[in-house]
Amino acid sequence: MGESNLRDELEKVWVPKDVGELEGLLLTIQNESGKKILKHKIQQILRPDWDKQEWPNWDNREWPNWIDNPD
Amino acid sequence: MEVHRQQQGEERVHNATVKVQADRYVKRSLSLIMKVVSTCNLACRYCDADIYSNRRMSLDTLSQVITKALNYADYVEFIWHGGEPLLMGIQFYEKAVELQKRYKREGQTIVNTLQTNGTLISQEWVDFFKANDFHIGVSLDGPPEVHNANRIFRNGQGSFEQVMRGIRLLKENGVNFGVLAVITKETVRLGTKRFLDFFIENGIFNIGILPQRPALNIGRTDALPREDFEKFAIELFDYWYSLDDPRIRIREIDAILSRILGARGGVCIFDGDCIGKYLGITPDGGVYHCDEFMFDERYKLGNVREQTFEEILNPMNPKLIRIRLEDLKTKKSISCKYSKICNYGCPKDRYVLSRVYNKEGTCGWCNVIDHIYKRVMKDLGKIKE
Repeated sequence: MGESNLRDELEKVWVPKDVGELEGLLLTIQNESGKKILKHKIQQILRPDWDKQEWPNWDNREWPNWIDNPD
Repeated sequence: MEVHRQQQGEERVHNATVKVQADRYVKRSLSLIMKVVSTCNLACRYCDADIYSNRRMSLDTLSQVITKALNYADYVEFIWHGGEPLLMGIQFYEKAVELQKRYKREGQTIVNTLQTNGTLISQEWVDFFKANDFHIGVSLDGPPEVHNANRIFRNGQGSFEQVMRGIRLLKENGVNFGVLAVITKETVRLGTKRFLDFFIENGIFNIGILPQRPALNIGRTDALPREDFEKFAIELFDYWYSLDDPRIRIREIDAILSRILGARGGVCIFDGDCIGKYLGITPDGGVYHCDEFMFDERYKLGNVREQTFEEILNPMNPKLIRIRLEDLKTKKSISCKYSKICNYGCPKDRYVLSRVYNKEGTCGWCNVIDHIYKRVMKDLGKIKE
């Protein structure tokens, strides 16, 4: 897979990019029955004691540099 | 003109000083896998430890590791490991805790985790763990027919009963613990439902899983085939997810969920930045890039008896540079759309593939992540069935 194809594939893998998007996800499933594991996990990440510094910044993600890496 | 040049020079010196100071105040974390003893009272069939030697960490080396680690990092996790770490006796760990208390700086976090085979846990140990807030990992592969197939004493007898006695003591005394299960062909034969039901029935809700890997220390390359592990992990996720009980935590699956939801996984294999953070320490103070590489001298970064962590982890340390370049190179060969989730997985898996099986490949979790990702996105309404 070439660099541009891989980038396209990576873009398709959606993950919430910040706390706001994650809160939005919780709102969409909050009143649905079941899905306790998912609700619990999202609530756990949103808790104030969860280390927000650990939130990855997808926009600044270091893309693999296929050209500069040594062979 | 001369004054202007002098000002420029002072400015450069000032900027450099500020940069050095800023670098120093970036929070540093260090997880030290302390191989305090090489020997073990068990002789597990798949083990890669050198259990027939009896190398033990001296109090002097212990003191050097603790003082230098606390001098270097703001978050320090000591992962007490072996061989069997309880063979060192309580006094060794009392000394470790005493040193930690003495040299701890304000605002510093110290965590103690101990990985044991569980057979030597006594009330005295439990009291010590509780008093000093040790997190305990017990190696338990599952019910007796699975556990005793591999986790045996030197006389060939299974260790299941002794391990369960240790776990009962931990539970009765409210010690924070989890289990770590090696997934073998016996586990696969048992099936995921009986595997997970066993732990739940015994009140064990915190479970880590890892596939049996080649025991490279002793030159063995037999292991659980990747496809067998992936199939097992997928089925385990499906069963666990169907129970929908958040009290049950399967460490690796929990980490994948965290990654899918945009957060850090909290498990080294998926966090992608292990080099220079997770170090294996040998009984004689040797410092390696993770304990998974202790059999290969090229991964030895230095010795804590002769150097500080500042020196060992200096970005210009040629060995560290070589390991980082190798890490990048092996990532380069992977074209995986889920690298955003797995961060290319554990370097050991890529090492094993390239060195042992002479092929390149992924971390071995791709199909598992693909399965979990699609299920979670469906439940979040992000994709249709």
